[in-house]
Amino acid sequence: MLRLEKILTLCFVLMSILSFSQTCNLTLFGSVTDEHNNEPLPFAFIVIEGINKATTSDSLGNYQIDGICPGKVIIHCDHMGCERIIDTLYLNESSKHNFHPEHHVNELGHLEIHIETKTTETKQEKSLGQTTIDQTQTQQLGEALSNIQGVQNQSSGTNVSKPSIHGMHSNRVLILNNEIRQEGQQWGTDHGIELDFTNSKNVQVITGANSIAYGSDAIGGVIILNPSPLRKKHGIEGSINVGGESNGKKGVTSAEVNGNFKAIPELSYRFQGSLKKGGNVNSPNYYIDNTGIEEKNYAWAVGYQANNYGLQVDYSDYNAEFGVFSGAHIGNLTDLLNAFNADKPNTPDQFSYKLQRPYQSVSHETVKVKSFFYFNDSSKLELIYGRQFNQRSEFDTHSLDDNEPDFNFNLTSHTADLKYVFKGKWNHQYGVQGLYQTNTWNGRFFIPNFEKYGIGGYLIEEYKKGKNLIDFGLRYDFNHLAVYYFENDVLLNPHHNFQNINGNVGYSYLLSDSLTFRTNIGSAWRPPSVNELYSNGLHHGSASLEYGDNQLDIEQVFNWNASLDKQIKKLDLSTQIYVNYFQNYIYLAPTGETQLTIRGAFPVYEFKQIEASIVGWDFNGAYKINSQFDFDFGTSILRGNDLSNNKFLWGMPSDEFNTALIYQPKFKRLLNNTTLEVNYSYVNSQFRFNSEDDFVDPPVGYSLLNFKAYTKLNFKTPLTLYCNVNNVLNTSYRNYLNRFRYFTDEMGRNVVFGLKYNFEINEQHHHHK
Amino acid sequence: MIKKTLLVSGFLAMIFACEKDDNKVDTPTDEHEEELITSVDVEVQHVGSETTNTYSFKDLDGPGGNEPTQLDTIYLIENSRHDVSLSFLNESENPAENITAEISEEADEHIICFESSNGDVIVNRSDSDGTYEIGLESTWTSSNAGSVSSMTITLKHQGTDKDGTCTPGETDVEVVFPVKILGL
Repeated sequence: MLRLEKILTLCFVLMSILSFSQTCNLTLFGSVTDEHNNEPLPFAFIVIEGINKATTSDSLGNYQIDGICPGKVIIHCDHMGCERIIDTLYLNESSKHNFHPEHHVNELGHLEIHIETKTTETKQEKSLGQTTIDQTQTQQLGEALSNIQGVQNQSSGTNVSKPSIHGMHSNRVLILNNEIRQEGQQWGTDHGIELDFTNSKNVQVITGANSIAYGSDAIGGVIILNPSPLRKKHGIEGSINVGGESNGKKGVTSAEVNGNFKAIPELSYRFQGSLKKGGNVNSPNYYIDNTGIEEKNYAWAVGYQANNYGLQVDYSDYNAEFGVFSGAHIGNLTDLLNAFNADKPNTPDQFSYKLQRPYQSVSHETVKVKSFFYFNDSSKLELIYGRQFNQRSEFDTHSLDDNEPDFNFNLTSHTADLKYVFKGKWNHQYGVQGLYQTNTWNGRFFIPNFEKYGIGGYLIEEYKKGKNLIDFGLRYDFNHLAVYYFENDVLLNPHHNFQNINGNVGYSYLLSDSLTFRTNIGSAWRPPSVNELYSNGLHHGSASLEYGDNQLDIEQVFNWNASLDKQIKKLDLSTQIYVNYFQNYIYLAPTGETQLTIRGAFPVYEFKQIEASIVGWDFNGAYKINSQFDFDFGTSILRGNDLSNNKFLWGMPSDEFNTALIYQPKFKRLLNNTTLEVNYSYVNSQFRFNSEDDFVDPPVGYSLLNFKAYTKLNFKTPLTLYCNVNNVLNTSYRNYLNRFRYFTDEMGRNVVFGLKYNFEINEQHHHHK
Repeated sequence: MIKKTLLVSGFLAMIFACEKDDNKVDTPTDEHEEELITSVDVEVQHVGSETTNTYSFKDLDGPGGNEPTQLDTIYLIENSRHDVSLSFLNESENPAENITAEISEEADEHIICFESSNGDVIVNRSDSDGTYEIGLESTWTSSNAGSVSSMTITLKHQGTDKDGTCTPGETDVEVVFPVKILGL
C-alpha cells in the first residue's frame, strides 16, 4: 500500500470502482524501462482495460496495481513519445510484468524542445519545457517564447512584448489561454498580451495555418497556454516561486495551491496569484526612463469530476500598469529624428520605481465554465463558455487631470465552444464555436464602438495506419460586424459581413524514434480588424496619421509546411520549411504624402491589401558530445515579399543563428541535477527593406552572449534554483522588431535569478504530525 | 447536491465577476480630447506704433481630417523691434478653450522656441517662469527688407526636464510661418 502512495499521478485518471462477485485481490507490478538504454521511464501511464484501474510509474519506473480479478487481463502502457504497448495476460496469482517501450520523443537537448502533451500529430509543435518556464517567470510571454527557433519577440520596450511566429504577430497569432481565445486589443503593435503566464504549466507553439480547430487569427500559428490540471489525489500540492532581475530591479513572486478533498474525491480546486514590480531598466550606457511595471494577478478554479462527466469553473484576473518610455512618446517628426540621431535619449538618466505619464493600465478578467461528458471509452463531449472583460486605459504625456486616462477601451467578449470527439477506426472531431463581442471607448477617439457576432463549425478526421497518419479538416466561419460612430454629429452604423471556408490536410510518418516526417497544406483567415477599417487620424505618440479603409476584405493565407525530425546516433536534428501565400494581406502602407498639422507635417499611412508571401526555414540540432556535454545549434531564416508591388515586406525578422554549450557536471547528491549553459546568438541586420517604408533604416546586426545555471536540489521536496546572466558582455544593440529602436538601445546586462519550491501534503500524513 | 452547488457557484462566479462596461455600444460617447490645440495667434506690435496685427494658424478639427484652414504670413517692418505675444487656443470647442492660460500656469514645464530660416529676424524671449524663459512674450528684431524667410514657432512640453534649451520634451506645436520684412 505504501508503494501506491509514492506513485505520482500526472495524467488524468478515470477511477471507476466496480464491484465484482468474485474476490479480486491480485496485484500486478513491475517496471517500465526504455527499450534502447534500459533507463527507467517515470510517468508512464499504465491502465487495465475494462476495469479502469490505472496508475503511473514512479521516478524509478516502477508501478503497481492492486485489486485485480483473476483471469484475462488486458493492460496498456503509454509513455509520451513511445508507441503504446498492449499486453494480454492470464492471471491466477499476483505477478510481475515489465514494459519496454520504444522511446521516440524528440528531445533536443537543452533548448527544451520536448514534445510533451501533444495536441496534434501532423503539425509542427514545440513546447517550453518546465525548466524554461521556471526560468522565465520574470519575463513577458514574447521574450519567453523567443527561446523557440522561429519565434521572435515583437516588442515596444520591455513591458510590451508579444510572440511573432514566422514574422506574424498580433492579429495573425491566436493565443489560447486555458482553452479560451484571448480577446484584447491585440491589433495594436504597442499593445501587449494581457495574461499572467506564471499561471501556465505548459506553453505550446503550433506553427502554421490553424484555423480549422481554432477559428480566425490562427495564421502564423497558435500559442496554447494551459494551467496545471486539477489535482485528482486527495491532499494539497503547490509551489512558490520567487524571482528577480537586476536590470530594472524587478521582483516577481507567485504561488499556487492545488487541492483535492479526501471526503469528496470528485472535488478539486486551485488558487494561484502573482505579483510583479520593476523599475526603470537600463541599456549599457543609460537608464531608459519610465519603464517600470507593476502587476497584480490572481486566479482560482473549482472542478467536480465524476466517472464520466465533470464541471469546472476557472476565474482569472490580470492587472498591470506599466510606463511607456517617455522619450518614445514623440510629438512630431522633428522629435523622432532628433531622438534617432541622439547618442542617448534626452530623458532623465536615473533609476526609479515611479510610474509617470505616459503609462498604460490594463486589466483582463476571464471567467470560464467547462463541462464535459464521456459517453464511453472512445467518445467525449465538451462545452466551454468564456467571458472576458478587457479594459485598457492609456495615460498620455500630459493632461489637465492627472488621474483621468486620455482614452480607454472596454472590450467584452463571450465565447462558446462545443466539441465532440470520438475515436474509432477514424478519429473524429466536430465542433461549433460562437463569439459575441462589444467594444466601447471614452476620451480621445481612435477606434469606434463596435458589436461583433461570429459563428463557426468544423470537422477534423484523422486516420492512422501503422506508421502513417493522415488528417484533414474543414471549417466554415461567419462574422458580422456593426460599427457605431459620429460624423459631423450624425450617428453612422455601417455593417460588415465576413465569411470564409478553410481546409487543411496533414500527413505524418513515424519511423521509430529516429525519423518523423510531417507535412501540412491548408488555409487560414482573419477578418480586417476595426483599426484597419476605421482608423481616422493621428496615432498619438507615433508621429503618424493613419487612415483605415472600410472596404477591406478578409485576409486569407494558404500555407504549406513540412518538418523532419531525425536522430542519427549522437545527433538530433529538427528542421521545418514553410511557405505562406497571402491573398489580401493587410498592412499599414506609407503613402509618401505628408499632411500638415499644428505639430508640423506628419507622414500619412493607409491600410492596404496586397498579395504577399512569407517563406522560411527553421533548423535545430543537438549533439551529445559525451555524458556531460551537449552542443546545440539552430538557425531561422525568413523571406517576406510584397508580391503586388515587388518589394520587401516590412517588419520581417532577420536571419539569426544560435548555439549553446551545455554542461551537466556529475556533482554528488544534492547538486546532482545541475545544468550550466553558455549560449551565443547572432542576429543579422535586416537587409531586406525599402527605405521609403520606414523613418530610419534597420539597425546593424549584433551578437549576444548569455549564461545559465540551473539546479534542482534533491531535498525531500525539490527546490529549484536558477541564476542566468543575459547579455553577459553588456553589448549595446538595437533590435529591428522593437518599436523603441528609434529611441533607445536594448537592455544591458541582466542577472535573472530565482527559486521554486514545490510542496505536497497528502491528507493521510496529517496523522503523523 | 454537489452538482447543484457547483452550478450555482458557477453562475455566482459570473455574476460577482462584476467588471462591467458602463457604456452602451450603440450610443458612442462624445469625443473629449485633452489639451487639443487648434490655433496659434501671433500678435505683433511694432515698437512705437499703436496698432497690433494678428497672424494665425488654424486647423479647426485637429490633426488629420481636414487640412489647416489658415496660415498667415507675418509682416515685420525692417530694422526695428516688435513686441510679440502668442496665444494658443482650442477652437474646436465653443466657446474656445484658452490653452495659453494653462501654459502660463504650467510655465515651468513649457518653453517656446523660435527659429528664423535665414537669421533675418532675431528673437528674444521676455517672460520667465522664475528660472527659465517661457516665450509667450518676446521681442523680434528685424534686419533689412526684401528677403523672404520663415519663422518656426515650436511649443515644447518638457515636464520636469526643462533646462532652458529646446532639446528636451515633446513637441505640442510646430508651425512654420512665412515672414516678410517690409521697407518703411
